[in-house]
Amino acid sequence: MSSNIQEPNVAHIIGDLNNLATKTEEIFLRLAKSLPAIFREIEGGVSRANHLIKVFSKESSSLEYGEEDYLIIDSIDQAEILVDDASRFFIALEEKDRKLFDAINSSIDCLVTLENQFTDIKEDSIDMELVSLNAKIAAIKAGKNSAGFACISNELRKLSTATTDNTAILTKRGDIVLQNLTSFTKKIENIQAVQQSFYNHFRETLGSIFKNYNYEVEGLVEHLTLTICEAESIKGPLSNIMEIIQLQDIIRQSLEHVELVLNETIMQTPSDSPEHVLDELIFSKNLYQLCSDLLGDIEEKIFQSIGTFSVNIGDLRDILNKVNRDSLITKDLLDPKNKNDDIKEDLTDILNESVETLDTLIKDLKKTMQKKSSIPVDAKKIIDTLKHLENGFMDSLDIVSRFYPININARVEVAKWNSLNQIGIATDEMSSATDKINRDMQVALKLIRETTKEIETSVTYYSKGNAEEITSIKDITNRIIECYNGLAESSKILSGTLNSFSVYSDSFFSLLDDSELDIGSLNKITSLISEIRETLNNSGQAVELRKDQILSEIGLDKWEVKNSKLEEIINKFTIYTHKQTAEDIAGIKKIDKVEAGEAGELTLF
Amino acid sequence: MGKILIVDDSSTLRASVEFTLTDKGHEVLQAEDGQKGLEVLKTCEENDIAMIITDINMPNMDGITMIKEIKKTSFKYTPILVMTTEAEETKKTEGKEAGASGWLIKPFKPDQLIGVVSRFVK
Repeated sequence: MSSNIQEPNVAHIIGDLNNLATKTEEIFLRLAKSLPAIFREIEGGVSRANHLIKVFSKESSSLEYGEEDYLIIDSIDQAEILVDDASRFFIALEEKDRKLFDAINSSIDCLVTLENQFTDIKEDSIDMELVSLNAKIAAIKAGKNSAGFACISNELRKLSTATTDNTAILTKRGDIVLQNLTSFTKKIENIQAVQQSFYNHFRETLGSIFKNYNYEVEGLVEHLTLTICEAESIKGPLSNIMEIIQLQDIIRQSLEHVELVLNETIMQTPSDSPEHVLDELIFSKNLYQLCSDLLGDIEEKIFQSIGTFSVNIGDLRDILNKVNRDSLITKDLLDPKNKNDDIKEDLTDILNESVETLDTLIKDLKKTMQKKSSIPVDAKKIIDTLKHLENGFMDSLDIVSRFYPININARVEVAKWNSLNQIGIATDEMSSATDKINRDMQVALKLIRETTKEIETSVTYYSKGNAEEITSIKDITNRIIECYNGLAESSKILSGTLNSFSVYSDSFFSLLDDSELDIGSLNKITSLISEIRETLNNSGQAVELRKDQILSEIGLDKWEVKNSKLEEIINKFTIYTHKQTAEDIAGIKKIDKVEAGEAGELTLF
Repeated sequence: MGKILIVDDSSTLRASVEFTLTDKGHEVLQAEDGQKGLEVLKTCEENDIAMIITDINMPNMDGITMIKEIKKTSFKYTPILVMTTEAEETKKTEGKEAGASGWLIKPFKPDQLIGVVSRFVK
């Protein structure tokens, strides 16, 4: 320019603008790529957490095919059903056992009357002894006419001695049977008591474990739902950032426009003609103003971006902090390590406790079953002793049966000799005593046989039921253990998912730190833009002064621009608002504002 | 759901659009100018691409030229949305005559983009 004005170093400014374009693109692109990565990871975590909520809650119907394997709610439901089933099974079992034990006890009670029977038989054998003694005395008194009867009385004496001896043996055997029965009854009562206590304890303990677990799971689901809501709220600030990231495209185009305009300032040709110089000066002034306005627009957009980035990155940080804190609390609910004081019990504690309780319950159950399985063995021993007793009675009855021929012979002797009146009396007594001991022994034998049969029937039935019971209990315990394993597996899955929440949050925070540094860089860029604008404004003012000076020299007040170079520049602009700005500066009206659309406007063809 | 091809020389804008569309479940392909856009289409079947979103002012090949070229291919019925800072009617007419289906002025809100995409991609 021939106006001797200190011109700005356009090449230097263009260099700065290019750096500025590169730098903004670098910053915006870094945000555009890294923030969606955070979002995708959070979305992944949310998706996994949502899946877990389905697994842990009643929304199982929305699961994909194959996912139902992990349904913890099914495990809990199954466990609760199982406890109810087992409880019903045990109540029925207890009722069945009670009836059976009552039957055995009743048989045993009947057998107790055997004791009375033994007393009678003992008395009978004493009577027999007395009868034989009376017979002997009667024979001696009768003299030689009773020689035959003496033989009979001797025989009677031998038999009554044998009966007494046998009765003593039977009494001993009877005592053993009764002792065995007493201890058997005590054992059954003890088993009944243990069994009843176990069944009551089983329902109470297992029921409360699953109830507690279910309660904790519900709490976890609630907490997880809140965490998900918080994690999902990341979309808001992220969308705001991603929306403002578009501005970089406009900033880049704006910088290209500024460069285009600045290049025009150095393409001007020197001239000595005041008219030409005035044209050039006004053109230059317009160019500087246009550049400054465009840079002002860029500056505004960068400020707008800084504001949006700062607020939304702050929001992201708050959200991540909340999600992080919540996921840690949820993890604490599951994991006993690093537990804070507010959390008294977690799912792992409950599971561990319940596994211990379950072990104890199963051990108790096994002990009870072992005790129950010894009942048929004990019963068999009692039956054996009863049979032994029965055999003893058979022997005794055999002896007693031998009284009858003696009795007949005695009566024959009495018939032969009228003088044997006393012997007749003895014979009647003998007949009566024999009948009585025979009757008493038959009663006792019947009692023993009936009791033996009843005990045998009950124990056979019991043994069969006991085998089925053992199978059912094994099935129940296996199913309970499966439920526990299912719960433990689900807890691990939940714990793993929650771990992934905190794992990525560390990298996110570091990313947010980097983003905040980038915001600092953008602030520096706005300072540089301000400096360039100041330089351009100063140059514009210098041009304005020079223009006024020349106008004064040639005696004019104003000068109309005669070149159309600004219009040519406007045609090269790609942003509508820049064209408007340029037209306003140049004082021309090329675009109809009504016809032109605004940002975000959609036209469908 | 078919893929959406985004053609724009601004990588930040492509990233922003991709974020908005993928969040709605769309799969996105990218190209940095008209020439690259046509090359991407050559690797695709007609049914693969549900929609094309393009800028106008790009190096190598501008958006209007690319649209005209697309109209000569099997993708001629694929909806094309122009996404640009140009707002004058004369420019819009140029796009319409080339075969564009719509014109969206930058910058836009994500909902505005989602709204227009949902008109073309079901």
